[in-house]
Amino acid sequence: MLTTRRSAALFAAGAAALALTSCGSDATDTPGGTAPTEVSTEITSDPVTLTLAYTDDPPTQALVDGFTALHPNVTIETQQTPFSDYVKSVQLAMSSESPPDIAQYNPGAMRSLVPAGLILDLSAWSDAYGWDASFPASSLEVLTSDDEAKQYGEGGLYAVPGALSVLGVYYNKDLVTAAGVDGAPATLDEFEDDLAAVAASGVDPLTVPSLEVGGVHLWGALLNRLGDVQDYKDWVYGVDGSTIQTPAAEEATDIMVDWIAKGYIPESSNAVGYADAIGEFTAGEAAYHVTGNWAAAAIEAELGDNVGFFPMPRPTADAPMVASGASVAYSISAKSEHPDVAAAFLDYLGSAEAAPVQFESGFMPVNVDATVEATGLKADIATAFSQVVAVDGIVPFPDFAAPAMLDQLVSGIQGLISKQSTTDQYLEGLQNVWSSYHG
Amino acid sequence: MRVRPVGVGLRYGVLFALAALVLVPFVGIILASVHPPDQQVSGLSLPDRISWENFSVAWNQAHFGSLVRSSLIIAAGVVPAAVILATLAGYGLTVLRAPGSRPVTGAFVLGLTIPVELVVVSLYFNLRDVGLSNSYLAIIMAEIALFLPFGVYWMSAHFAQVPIELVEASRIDGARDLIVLLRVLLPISWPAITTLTVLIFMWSWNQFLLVLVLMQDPEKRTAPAGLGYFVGQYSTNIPLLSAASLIVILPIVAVYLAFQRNFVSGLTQGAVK
Amino acid sequence: MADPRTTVVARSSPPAAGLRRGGAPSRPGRRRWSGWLYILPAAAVYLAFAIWPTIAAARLSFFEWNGILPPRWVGLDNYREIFDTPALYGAVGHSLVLVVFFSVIPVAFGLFLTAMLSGRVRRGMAFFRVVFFLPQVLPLVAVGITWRWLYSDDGVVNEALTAVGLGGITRAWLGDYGVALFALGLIGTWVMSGLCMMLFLSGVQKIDPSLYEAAVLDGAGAVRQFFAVTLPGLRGEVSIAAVITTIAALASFDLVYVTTNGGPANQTTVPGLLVYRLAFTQGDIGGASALAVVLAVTVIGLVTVIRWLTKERS
Repeated sequence: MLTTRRSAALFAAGAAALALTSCGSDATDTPGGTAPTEVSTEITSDPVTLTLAYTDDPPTQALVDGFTALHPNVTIETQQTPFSDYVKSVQLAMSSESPPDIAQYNPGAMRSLVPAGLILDLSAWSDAYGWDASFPASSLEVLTSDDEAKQYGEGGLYAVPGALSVLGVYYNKDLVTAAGVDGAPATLDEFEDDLAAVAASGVDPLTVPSLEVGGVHLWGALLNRLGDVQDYKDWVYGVDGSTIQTPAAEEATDIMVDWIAKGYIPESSNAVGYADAIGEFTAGEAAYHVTGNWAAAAIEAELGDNVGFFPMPRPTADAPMVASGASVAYSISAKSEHPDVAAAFLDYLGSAEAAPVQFESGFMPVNVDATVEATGLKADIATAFSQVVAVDGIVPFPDFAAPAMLDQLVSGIQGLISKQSTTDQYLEGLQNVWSSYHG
Repeated sequence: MRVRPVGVGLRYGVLFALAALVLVPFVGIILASVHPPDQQVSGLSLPDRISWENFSVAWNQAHFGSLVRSSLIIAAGVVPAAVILATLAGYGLTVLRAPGSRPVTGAFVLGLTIPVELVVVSLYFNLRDVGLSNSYLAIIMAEIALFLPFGVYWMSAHFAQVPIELVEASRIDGARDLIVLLRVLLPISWPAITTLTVLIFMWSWNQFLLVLVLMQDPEKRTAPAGLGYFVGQYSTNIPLLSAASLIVILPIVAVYLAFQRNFVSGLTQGAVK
Repeated sequence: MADPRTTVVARSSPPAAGLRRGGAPSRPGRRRWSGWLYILPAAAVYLAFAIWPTIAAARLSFFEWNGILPPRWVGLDNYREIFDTPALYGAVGHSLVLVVFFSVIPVAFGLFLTAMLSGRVRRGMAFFRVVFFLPQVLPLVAVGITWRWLYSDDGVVNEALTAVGLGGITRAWLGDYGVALFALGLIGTWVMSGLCMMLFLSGVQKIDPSLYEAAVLDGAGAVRQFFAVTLPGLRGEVSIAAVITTIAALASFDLVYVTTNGGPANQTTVPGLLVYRLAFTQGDIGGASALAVVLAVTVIGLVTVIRWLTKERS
């Protein structure tokens, strides 16, 4: 401090020296992609130990237990990490000397593992096992990418799903009934009428945790119901020339802006966290809440029979069913010594045996032919999900479009909610992030 | 004479009002923490009955027991090492006046202005390269390095105040450097060393970003870092969150109250000397 | 480095390179090479875990690197991007606003109170000292969590405002586009004001009373005495307080991370938060390093300015 001025000079000199010394370290990108060709669907009967790194539980531990019950010679050691740490550390774990054999896949956080050749292209196993038939096509798309991981939806397969999720609207039955609303709406217009009726009854219609991703979920759900699904997917998957500045995206954003103007989404939403919103909803302080089926268990525990679920309504009653969804998916490390055993675990995920395990843990089964028995909230979700899956209507979340997209989406929605930015500015901001990554 | 623009009564009134402003947040979370779990607590309110349950839930289920243990392990590694290294370096720089001691002192002092943000990213990758990620040792070494600039500065400033006759007299008796440090300087340095010890303990206990980045194993996080994650998960459960916050705050407040003179002198001494 | 809130408290003179002889100026004595034995352990740890990462960060700022693939030299591109991207330079701007709340206001407030309270307040001083220093020792994470609750829609702050008839301006303070940054800054004011005040109150006791007497003889009123005697007498304390609080304002990662996470709509982003995001969620290590370097240069620059402004000039 005392010698600050001298220090600053030292610092500057040091920085200049560094700039000079580091000129020599230029490196060229190495081509990526590791695709085994010789694979087997038969696995060894010798004792094998695999390690598996993951973040979502349920369903992971239950799936591991289900698999090892079928293959007693296989031991799977699991390492769980909370989500925000996981997305930060999984790249580093997978690039270390002794990575886990299997890792839960995240299309955003693990992009660079594909070009680095650190996770296996599963195409050969997919052919051998016939995974196209056992896994829903829409759930595999987002796990497929070119070998630079710039464009999704085509190329190699880098993970398969172990459980599926779907986004929809939860509603408090007592509150909507008190407002004279008759159950779940069939169309978007009807939903808007319902929101107005609830607001008129003196109850907050929505709780939107826009401090975190809640506002993005709502916007995404609206967009998916209004826009062309293929245009949207192209944008998320990074297809050349795609844009989010479409009339449909403008319409979806305008609806949200309208809801903000009407006070359905108050400015205080920007201080509401994800857990806060679930708390408000289960405490009966708001009638509707948009989130995924992963929250079903927590919500049902508080509200019991008093809660229902429906997918974001269509603009017209005959429009195709679409919903945002994702999966808990798993990849195999390129450094694994037992890739065939790991692949057998992945195959198990799409099997009929795994379906009840997946449903029990609150997710949707991967095997679409599996039938599940459910009542109450879970039945609502299962119904909604099967309608969507039947027409391959599961679309990915918008934040997969680029690594910086999640932060841009969250702050963009906050800008709309604080009435500081317009629909055009919001979409332009998203497109700029997209272009700087894909352009 | 001094000007007395206001009377003693008003003077105390202002002081008490400010003290109240400082203390209100503490009163708020203390009251909230003894509410029954899951109760919605929005403002200052007295609970119907005092419930200690939140503390046991936070300690056991939310793993604050193991988080506090991690904090203590890290502090136990950082505090003695940093104090000893700083004392040795201060002695070498100021008493023995090793050649080049001025630029070396300057290099240490430069560290005082560098934000943790500058080093944390590259530290993360450097440590990964040498297989030290996710370990207590990495965090301990990094914290020692971060606190050394102040430690070296502080001990140098202290030794600079020591009358040189003391050192010279023992040298004439033939005492070697280490003996001079241990027998002559240490006995008169305990106040300075105690102050440095409590300050480093505080910084180590409160360190957040470094632990957040360098430690991925959630069980081995420190208490404040654990609290940073806890808030996202339980932000609605105000009584539980308040209890967890108090668990994180209490040790440092206890140390502060026990050594408050050292804290105050440490935080202001340079200016007051 | 240490905890930025309390880093350096030193006055302008560096530790003398020689020992004092009963207060006399230091005398050049024998330099001992053996001194290096004592310096080396500290120097080694400092070099390996502070200096080397600093150098590595500066170096990385000239590369495009995602942490896995080989880094690619991009020259000044990362820096250019900071100055071209509103979200990035905006964060630096926000941290300068925070300097007002963490530093300027607490110092001004502390000086005002010192002027008001400059008589000898002896009884109970120990109590006030303990209380006013308390926010200084707390982990900022806990401070942030507490204030997040106080600031909430139905929190204590709004309760208090309603109680005094200001119910009309209540809001979710940290979620409000216009005021979130100021609300965040006021937390800093809460943390820092006590420190500044205590520094000044103890400093003012050491001003020679005869200076005040002389001023009175010259016919100076209370205000002129403050500016002519008190303020110059507190020069050192003001300088220290401003430096400590400015460093804290620029390193406010902890507080932002647990309260607003940069929201609403990037109104409260600070460089530390974006360094963390760029490096660990966006895999842009080079950009993160460049921003960290910009932050460090800002800190050093501001500290230099403060020390220059408060330097004694004869």
